[in-house]
Amino acid sequence: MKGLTCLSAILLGSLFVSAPSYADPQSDQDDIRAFFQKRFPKVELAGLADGVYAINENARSQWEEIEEFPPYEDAVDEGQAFFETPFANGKGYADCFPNGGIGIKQDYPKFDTETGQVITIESAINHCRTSNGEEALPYGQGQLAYVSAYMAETSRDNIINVVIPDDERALAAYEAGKKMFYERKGQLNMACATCHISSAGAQLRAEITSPALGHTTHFPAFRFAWDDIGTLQKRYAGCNTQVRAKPFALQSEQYRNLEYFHTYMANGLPLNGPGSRK
Amino acid sequence: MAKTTYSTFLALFAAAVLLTGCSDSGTDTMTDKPAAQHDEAVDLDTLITQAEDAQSEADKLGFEWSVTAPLLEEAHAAAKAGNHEQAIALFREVKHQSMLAIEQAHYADKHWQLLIPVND
Repeated sequence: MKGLTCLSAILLGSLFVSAPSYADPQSDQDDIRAFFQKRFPKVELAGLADGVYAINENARSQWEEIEEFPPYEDAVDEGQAFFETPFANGKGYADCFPNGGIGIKQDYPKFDTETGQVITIESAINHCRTSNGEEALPYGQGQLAYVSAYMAETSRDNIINVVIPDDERALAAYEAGKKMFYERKGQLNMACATCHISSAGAQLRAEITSPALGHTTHFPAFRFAWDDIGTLQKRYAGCNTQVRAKPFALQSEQYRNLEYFHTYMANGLPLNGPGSRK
Repeated sequence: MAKTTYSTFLALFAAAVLLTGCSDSGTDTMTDKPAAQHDEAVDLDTLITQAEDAQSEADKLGFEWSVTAPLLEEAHAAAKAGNHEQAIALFREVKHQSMLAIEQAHYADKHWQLLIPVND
């Protein structure tokens, strides 16, 4: 009898002390969309893919003029040339990706159930190189960003479709990325969400802060501040530095998880990268 | 009106004299006590360890501030150049910033969900 009582107590206790409970990604996505639809009622969900240019007419008209002579065009051409140049072993990027690497960006980041890690398109590009005996390229900008920009361009208008498989590790990676998005950091004590959720659309000095849903759609992007094409994670590092937080290494686990959450939130939006941004 | 101006002047003058006196007294105290300088040298070593440990802990938590490492470099440079007072001030600032970053990390761990949008 005493044993039974103990067992009941343990079972009852286990109801309260169990594995960490995670929110449902689909419900997170619904909530964030509902938030932006309420904040920007005149903008359709797909329109948010244009980022800040979806919510500010002045900025949009300038951007449309810039897009007539896209500043990223040369980088995309160079990226295509790099992409099509075979490695020393005769193989190439096309051998590493589904569909020969064309029109596949909407599926990244992916969760690799073998390694238990999130794979971004940039980390996959470098993995392709190293597994074919080539040196890894520096992340952020340069040749790797150009190849990624070319791959993004071949995926234009495809609908973002990031999948979280039924795997606790994938959910944990998503949750870690989500936590990073919402936690305040740096000397200025700001989170990604401070600017891109709570204050999205507000005037921040001379800029309008962009909504979080239209970020992952257009990277790699040509930023006039960089005078070059750069990757999404280069921007993450820039944002961290702007709030005076020490940035993580590009393609670190922290940034890959952040990109996983950030892109999952944009599922259903069309890709329009590479983009141009101030 | 003239009386008020005169009183204000007197008050400011008195304050200036007092401040100058305090300042001189501080300088004298420091120069008169070489033993205190020796104590500070010991304290500097302890302070360096404390500042570096705190910075390392903030980094481990992923919350180090980007302005802290340059300060730490500056602090070591000041110590190397024999600028003891400046080094102490800088190492204290490194320690202070790192402690705040650690506190920020613990706070974020408990309260990060506060910024998640809530739809009514």
